[in-house]
Amino acid sequence: MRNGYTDSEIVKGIKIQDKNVLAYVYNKYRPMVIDYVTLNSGTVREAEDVLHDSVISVYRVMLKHEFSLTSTFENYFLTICKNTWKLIARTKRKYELNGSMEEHNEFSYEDQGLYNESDIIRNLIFEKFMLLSKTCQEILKLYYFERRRMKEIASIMNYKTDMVAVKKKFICLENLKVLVKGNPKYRKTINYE
Amino acid sequence: MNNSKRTLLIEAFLDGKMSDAEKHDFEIAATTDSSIKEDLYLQNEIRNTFEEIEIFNLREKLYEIKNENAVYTKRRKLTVFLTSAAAIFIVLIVSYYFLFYSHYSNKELYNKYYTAAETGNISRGSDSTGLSVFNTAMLNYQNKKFNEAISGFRMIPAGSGQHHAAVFYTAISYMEKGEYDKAISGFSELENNKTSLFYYDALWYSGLCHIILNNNNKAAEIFSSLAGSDSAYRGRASEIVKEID
Repeated sequence: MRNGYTDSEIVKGIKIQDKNVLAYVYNKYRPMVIDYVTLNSGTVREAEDVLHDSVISVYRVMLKHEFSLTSTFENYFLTICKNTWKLIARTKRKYELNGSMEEHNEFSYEDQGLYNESDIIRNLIFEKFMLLSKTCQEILKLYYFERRRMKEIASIMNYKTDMVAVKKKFICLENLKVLVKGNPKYRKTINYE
Repeated sequence: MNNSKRTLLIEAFLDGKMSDAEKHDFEIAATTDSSIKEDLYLQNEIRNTFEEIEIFNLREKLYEIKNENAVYTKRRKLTVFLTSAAAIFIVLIVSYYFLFYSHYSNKELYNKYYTAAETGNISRGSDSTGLSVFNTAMLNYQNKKFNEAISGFRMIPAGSGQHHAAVFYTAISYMEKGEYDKAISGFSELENNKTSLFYYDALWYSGLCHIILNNNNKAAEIFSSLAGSDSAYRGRASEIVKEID
């Protein structure tokens, strides 16, 4: 991993999901985001989520329209992080923020990311998906991600009949639902909505 | 409706596998039954999570980075811990060694504590001839001409005011020459005379001679006596006693 990237290299790197650039952004802003979130009633784990969700938010903006920075990437990214935490904190009824990361309000609403409650839920779903067994991950990916038919899934997974694949997929989906529903963040976000 | 049935029904709805009538009934149920409504929302979001392929890939990469970072942090903490533990262990071992095992050899101890006696203004007395001989001998001693110095000191008669000094510097000269037995013999005359100005000096140097000759018992006896005295050698003598114990 390089020691530094220019703003345009970072923007380009996020657009093409360059893992080195993503790691650079993650490591560079992690301490600042942790400071901000923990200062505002959050935990280190929540700060990690904010960082993760903010990168996704930036990426979404880049997908939606032609993106160009009107300020430094740092200013822009920290604004996104702050907005992300505001939303998470609001759903947690922790909306008394104390500042620390500077205010950067020169960005348009569109540029400030499209982060919403759905993103919180989807990030939670992904997080819980990663906790499933490798077999479950594979089956759900084949079904939802690659849109494979049950017959194909049975063949790929070496199951004797389609019905085995149907049952397995059902069990995996149930497991995922239980994990998501069991997380307090889910309940708070759903109730907030 | 139990959980399993609900999940299957919602999947059928979202997969478009319901007849129009079933779909109609389900939509009515979804507006009236909060559990169906909630699960419909969740299962739909699960699908959305997977259907955003690009975002899903990005999430996977970020997840990997987060895990790698956590592993790196853990390794770093472990390395720091192990390094600190190793450093503490080494310090303890070295300290233990020095405390309980590290003794100077007799030669090292001798070299550590031996310095040739200084020559101050010690020429006193009224015998001008003797004084001249004594001063010449001292000059030779200072110039490290020890044989000449010894010859000169021997010429100082027993009743002379420089006699004790002559005996002392003769013995020191022998030490410089490495003739420790002769030095001890010289010091013994002074050790037997507590009123001599050179009494403690003689004890000190005599003790050192016994160290270099590996007579540790005799050395310990002499230095113990010095350690208990009020002489200037008291502190150093105590150190030596600890070393040779």
